[in-house]
Amino acid sequence: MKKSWLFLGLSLLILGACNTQSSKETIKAEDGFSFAFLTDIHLQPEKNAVAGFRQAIDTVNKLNPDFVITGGDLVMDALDQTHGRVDSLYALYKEVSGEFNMPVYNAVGNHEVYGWHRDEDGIELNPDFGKKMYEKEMGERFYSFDHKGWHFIILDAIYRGDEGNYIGKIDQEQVEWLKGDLDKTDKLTPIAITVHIPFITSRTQLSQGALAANSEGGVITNSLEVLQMFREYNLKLVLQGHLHFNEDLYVGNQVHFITGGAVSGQWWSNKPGSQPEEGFQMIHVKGDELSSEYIDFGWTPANEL
Amino acid sequence: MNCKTVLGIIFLFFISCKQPSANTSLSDESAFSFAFMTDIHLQPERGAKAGFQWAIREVNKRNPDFVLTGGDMVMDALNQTYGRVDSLYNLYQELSEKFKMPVYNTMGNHEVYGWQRNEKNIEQHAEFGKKMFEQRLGPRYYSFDHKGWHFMILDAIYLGGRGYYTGKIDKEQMAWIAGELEVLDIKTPIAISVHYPFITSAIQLTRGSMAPNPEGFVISNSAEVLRLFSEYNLKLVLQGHLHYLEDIYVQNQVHFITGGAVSGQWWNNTPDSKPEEGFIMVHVKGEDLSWEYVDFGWTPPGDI
Repeated sequence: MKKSWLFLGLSLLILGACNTQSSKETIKAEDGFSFAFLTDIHLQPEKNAVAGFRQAIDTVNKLNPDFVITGGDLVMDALDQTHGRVDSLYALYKEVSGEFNMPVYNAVGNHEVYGWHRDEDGIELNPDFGKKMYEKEMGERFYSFDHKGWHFIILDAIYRGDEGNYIGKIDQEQVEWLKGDLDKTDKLTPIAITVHIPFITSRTQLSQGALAANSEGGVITNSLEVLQMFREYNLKLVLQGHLHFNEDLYVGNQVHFITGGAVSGQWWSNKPGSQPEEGFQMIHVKGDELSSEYIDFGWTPANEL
Repeated sequence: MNCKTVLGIIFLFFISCKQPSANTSLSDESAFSFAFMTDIHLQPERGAKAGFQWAIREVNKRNPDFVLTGGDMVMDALNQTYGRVDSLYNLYQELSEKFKMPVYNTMGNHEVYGWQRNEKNIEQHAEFGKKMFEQRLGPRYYSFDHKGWHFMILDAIYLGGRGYYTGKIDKEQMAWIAGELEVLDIKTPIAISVHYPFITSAIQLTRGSMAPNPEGFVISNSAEVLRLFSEYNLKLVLQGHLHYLEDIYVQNQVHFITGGAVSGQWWNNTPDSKPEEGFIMVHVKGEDLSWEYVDFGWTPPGDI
């Protein structure tokens, strides 16, 4: 197994930038696999979001990847809603995402965190306060798994800042855990990270000019510290969400930082011309190389006609 | 911070995106390749001459339709004697004659004669500043068409007060770009070549994601310039300056490629240096493109 992906890795080095055409040809290769990355679903009973999400799920099921990774902001919203509303949103997400025909690995987004932004007496004493709701309903907020020679790491970048609001940061507990996780990982094993808030992005530079800085709610503020831990490892892919923006930053012929658009487009309120289209990323892996394509699952909000 | 307010701002760029492979207006017969070679930093020292000749040989072997350079062809015109600068330009012109295909040059900061040199009356010199580049290598900004694509070469070296320069597209070029685009079919795929990057991941990766790009690394009025292209089919921006390799593919529409460096780390690579001495080969088919970084196999005497 290891020998074969090493060989393929070498032969595919010259593929360079992601090429959606060749990806369709390579997907059937024996040791290749695909997975879907669905981020910023913002599921809610309003805005026809349930039907939209179901259309995305149908499309995924037809494409039949090995598994699905979500990139956070699964529901809208837990930060500043009543416990009853939040509870029903989690229930709705679990019910609808049960319709995927393959395993689903979730990542936590800021909108999954219960009560941080809510002004309600004693809310901090609620047993579901903060990320406890997510952990109870969805599982671990950070973890890793292996698939066909790749190592997948899911991180939680939602950090509570001094004023109670969220900022992007990987906390010390995870930094320690990562050390241990990487200690057990072979230096040649291709690694893919999923995290809601981006490590790096071009979005701020594009919209505000090349001298503009990212905000602490828009990116992982300790990105350097975390990425340095991977310096000696074969980090190939970082899947990011949060920005409802499509970009693939391919750096040093080594790592793709992909911000994966949004299943909800502009929060299920797209108008003609809105970017991104409601969609998700299909990642095609062959050996330790990959390509990606953004799948527009054809959703048109009622108000977009 | 209210994330929805900040992020919910409707994003105006590249609103007229096309899906990459779907319906190309150009036929497959129009497939072609070209080489993008940036930051050559040619000089008689450090084996640079031999290194550049290796690169030229590799390009000729691959036989692209043409070569685009990304600036910083010589090292250096900013702060050297006229005799040295004159000989560097001559050396570059002599060697680049060996390309078997047309060469289109882009201006880099190191091509500007005398800007940082403290020499009496140097301003009066007939080749002072960008005049040297213009008289020897041609216009500092221009465009050409090739097999259905429109190529625009920009000059991002903005000369401020004496000795100072930064990355910026001047007003003269802004007006010229607007005029160019007015007569261009909005479906025509466009490629830009420019020395300073419009956008880059280099600073975020090396200093952390909160670090802004410093002036002198990027084009400070990038948003203003890119807005001119928002209704057009901009597909590719080729950038240099940073000696860094990246491809930022945004909104499934535009590749911003920073093309490494022919000189690697100024012809001083050690075994772990990045980038390898190399150049970009761009392969165009219809209006789609792919690229590869070609390491032409150079090993500096000190890199063994």
